[in-house]
Amino acid sequence: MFKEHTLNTTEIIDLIQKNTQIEVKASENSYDASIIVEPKDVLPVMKFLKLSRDLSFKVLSSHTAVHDGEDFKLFWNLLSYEHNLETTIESSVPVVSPQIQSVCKVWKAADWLERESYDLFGIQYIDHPDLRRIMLPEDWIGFPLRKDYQSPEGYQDIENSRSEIDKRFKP
Amino acid sequence: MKSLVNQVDSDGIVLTTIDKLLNLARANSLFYMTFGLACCGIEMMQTGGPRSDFDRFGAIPRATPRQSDLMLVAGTVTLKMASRVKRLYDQMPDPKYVISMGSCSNSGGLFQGSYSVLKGVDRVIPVDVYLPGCPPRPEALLSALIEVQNKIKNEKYLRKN
Repeated sequence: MFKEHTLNTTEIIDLIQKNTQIEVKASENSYDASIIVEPKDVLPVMKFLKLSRDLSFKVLSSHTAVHDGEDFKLFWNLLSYEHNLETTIESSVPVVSPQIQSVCKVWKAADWLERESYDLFGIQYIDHPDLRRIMLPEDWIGFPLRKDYQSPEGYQDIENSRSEIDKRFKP
Repeated sequence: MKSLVNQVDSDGIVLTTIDKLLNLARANSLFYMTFGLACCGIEMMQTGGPRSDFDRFGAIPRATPRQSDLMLVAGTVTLKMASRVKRLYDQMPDPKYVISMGSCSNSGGLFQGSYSVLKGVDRVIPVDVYLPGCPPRPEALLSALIEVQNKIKNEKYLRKN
């Protein structure tokens, strides 16, 4: 049953601040309006978003990260079927110490999504039940989606350097 | 010149060498391992279907390397998969042949700049026929199979090492 009026981002932010007393703000330049949360506040805000009767974001549809300069930007896409809502939560952690609370206790779906960002970005999720690589081999060195990552010349005993033709190629 | 069938009809004797007879049998019973790794795998299945019909050349898909003569590497080989490709190749009984199907399998193709993609399957196993295309059409795969058959027919297998 769809309601006529669904909450917009500003109203969701008001609800968060009224109920949890945590400072959050809307992102300024974004294609889709998102809510920026401090990394230390992520877990309590997420708990509120899921458990609140006015919002009940029971679905975590996606979680991903972007390497942006000195920071990793983290995104959580949330859905509420009951209230016909969707929103994006945004946070950022520094590349030098990428640590953030895991939201596995709030949504079980976060388990593999967080393992994926650990696999590709090396983000450490505190209190994650099983934080290890999900797609790359377990003995892989480095985190491939970081901007300073250098592709390996091989893996185990397999030689995988660029061919001579490839090195000569000038696009 | 009379055809082979007519010769059998008239006097019942065909003269050939053991090599030729053996190669004729081997070339027309190439069991290939179903090894679709990416979109080329879909084209390989299409080649096995009724329109192209791999079966009419004696090529039958097998689900295990231990019963296969031919490996069709159809798709992008990642570094994680590369060691498995090598193991499956080692499990095949001799004599064995490999068709590297599509650009990805030949050289890494579109994805060769990626950190996780092997730049050509010939870095882990020997390849008999390289088939270009992205993905190659079923007709091209049939042509590659016939190329392998021609290679087999020209071998002197009994005297091979």
